[in-house]
Amino acid sequence: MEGTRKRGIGVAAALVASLVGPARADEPKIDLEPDPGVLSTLAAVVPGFIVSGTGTYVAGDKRAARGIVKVQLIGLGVAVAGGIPMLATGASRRTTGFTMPLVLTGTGLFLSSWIADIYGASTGGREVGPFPAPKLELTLGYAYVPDPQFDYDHFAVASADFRRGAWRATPSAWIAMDDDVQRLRAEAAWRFRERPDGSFLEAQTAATVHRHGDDDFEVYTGEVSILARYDLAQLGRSLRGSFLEAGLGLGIETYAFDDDLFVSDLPLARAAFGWHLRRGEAQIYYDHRHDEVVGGLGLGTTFDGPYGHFGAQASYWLTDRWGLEAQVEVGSVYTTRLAIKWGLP
Amino acid sequence: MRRRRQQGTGAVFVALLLAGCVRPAEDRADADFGVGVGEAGGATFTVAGGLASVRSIERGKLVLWAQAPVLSIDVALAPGATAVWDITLLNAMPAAELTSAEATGVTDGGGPRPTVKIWTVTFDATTDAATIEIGPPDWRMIDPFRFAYMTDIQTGIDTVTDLYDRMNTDPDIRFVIAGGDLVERGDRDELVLVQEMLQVLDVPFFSTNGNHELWASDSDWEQLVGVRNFHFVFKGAHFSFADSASATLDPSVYDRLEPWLEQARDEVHVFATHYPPFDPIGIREGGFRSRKEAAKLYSMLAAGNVDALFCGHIHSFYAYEVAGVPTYISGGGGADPQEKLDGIGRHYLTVDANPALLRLDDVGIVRIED
Repeated sequence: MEGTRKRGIGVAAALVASLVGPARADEPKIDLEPDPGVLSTLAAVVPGFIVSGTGTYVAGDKRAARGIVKVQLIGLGVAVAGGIPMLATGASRRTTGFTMPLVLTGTGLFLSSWIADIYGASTGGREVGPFPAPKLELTLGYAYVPDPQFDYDHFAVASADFRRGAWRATPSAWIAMDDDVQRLRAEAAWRFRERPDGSFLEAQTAATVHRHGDDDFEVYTGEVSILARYDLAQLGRSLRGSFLEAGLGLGIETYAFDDDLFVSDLPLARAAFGWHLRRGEAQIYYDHRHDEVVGGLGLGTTFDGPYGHFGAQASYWLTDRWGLEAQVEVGSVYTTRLAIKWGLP
Repeated sequence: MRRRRQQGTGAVFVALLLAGCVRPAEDRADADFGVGVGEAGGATFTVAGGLASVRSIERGKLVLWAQAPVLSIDVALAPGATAVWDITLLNAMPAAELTSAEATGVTDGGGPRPTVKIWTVTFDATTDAATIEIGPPDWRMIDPFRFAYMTDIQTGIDTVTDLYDRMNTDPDIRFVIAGGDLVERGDRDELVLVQEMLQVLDVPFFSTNGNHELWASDSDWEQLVGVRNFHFVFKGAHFSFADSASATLDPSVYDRLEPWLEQARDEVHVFATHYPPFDPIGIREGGFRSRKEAAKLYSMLAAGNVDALFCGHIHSFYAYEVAGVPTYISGGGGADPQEKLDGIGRHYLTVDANPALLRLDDVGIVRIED
């Protein structure tokens, strides 16, 4: 194990050197098929967290390793660019609006590069591309949300996706089955850039009403955001079949209590690593939202509070019309959602 | 084989999942119930509400650290129990008196500082149960009084006496309440130092804990300070403290808060905690980890007619209102980094309570120039 760690550190150093130095004359001009394995996966997990790309480098995909470490360095640079002034100003009210988005985006890229390296080092890339989304998609499911802070455990969840060209409209509802709690949301999106490999840029807007009848408050939220997806196959063969998502936006929340309103801005940031399935896709992600049923993550440490939540979701079409969706999230509570979906191609 | 390799990605996610903690404050909330009980020499002392920690107890000697201006202590005496007890109360109200209907003698031994009181209490050999009450003689009088609020000392421990010295110049301040983060790293020595620094202060200092206290062993707080979630009444005004050091209140604390709110619905009620439930600068997310929980808490406080919420964590000063509950963030105890560009700096708050008129008359900020 010690030997593995030392070798990993050595590889990480070699990777950094190869990134900053000129390409070697004996380096192959074409991509060779990567050779993933246990060693490369371990290298991606342990030294890979410090220098992402170590795993794919060990697997023999130097091009992917370079791409991954570039993503990591960009993430680190952006996070530091936001983090230093944030610390220097004590998270000042006058600078947080600029520094926080940088910290969130940079950290998201940093962590995503790590996950991408693990994917590349363990799979060597997969020959699978994006599965086309239907024009109409209806989803009906159940969510288990055993939040000890509230009386509910069980939610009925429904949503619909209407797609026409670059446009999408998505109304959705979370209705507690054992408490007076409802969350209704209407989302609209315009995909203004899209490539055949699945990469896109999308502008989103949404309005949400979240009602807690027994707790005597309602929350009205309006939000705008940009979501970008990037096909990671462009970075190297080891990353075929995977993609990176990053989103940033701002919401305005109005909390309505019995006689009073409280208005607060809501930072929106999301970073996801995803991979295509034969008839669907899966993602693991970080979402900075603190306003949903899952809330923000509590680690039981001195740093609790600012984190959002982590999640994983998968969507798979069993036939042309019928599919399944599953999601687990961890924040203030662990949530699990299972749904069936029906689509009209 | 390939499927097995993909498990590496899944394992990372599982690790992240397992890292989550739904009730991070549960153990601390449970620990409150073990505070304030001590047994020696055939006598068992139980401080009502856990409002004092038993710093030491041996035959005939009891040392307590108070977490409230008024204490009620039940004493159970076994046959042959020690009848004469020297009771030392640290962090006491300067004018505190000890009374007990069952005691045959109470001798006031004074104390080396205004906040240290020593009494000798004698019980009759036939007494098997007694109640001791400790508090200033005017604590039941419903009339105006002033208290101070501060939090977030942390790295400012060496200079916090500047604040205490200023407080000492204001004779109207009866006690100080605090929202935690008294230490930076939270080890026992640091907490001991905090209490040594409090020797400068002429009035007692009652505090819940903050996230920086979580660095240390939980038992250090329980032994040296006491409870984290507690409630007391002084001159008709209610004070409730809640442990939000994990950016949440444990669900069991909400259960305890309900009767406190009900009891104080028609009286002055002050609520103190560490984290602001809502950060007034929403994009900073310096509040509770769940905004829904923050809204739930405010909804409860509003229904209970709470007069003010005092908190800290953010090293600056903010005054705002949520659900009709005036909210004050006062993180001016000296912790680094202070919020810059706010023109605030080190400070504490003075609060004038007027229980007869069922209101807080004024909340003032006292700034300490560096």
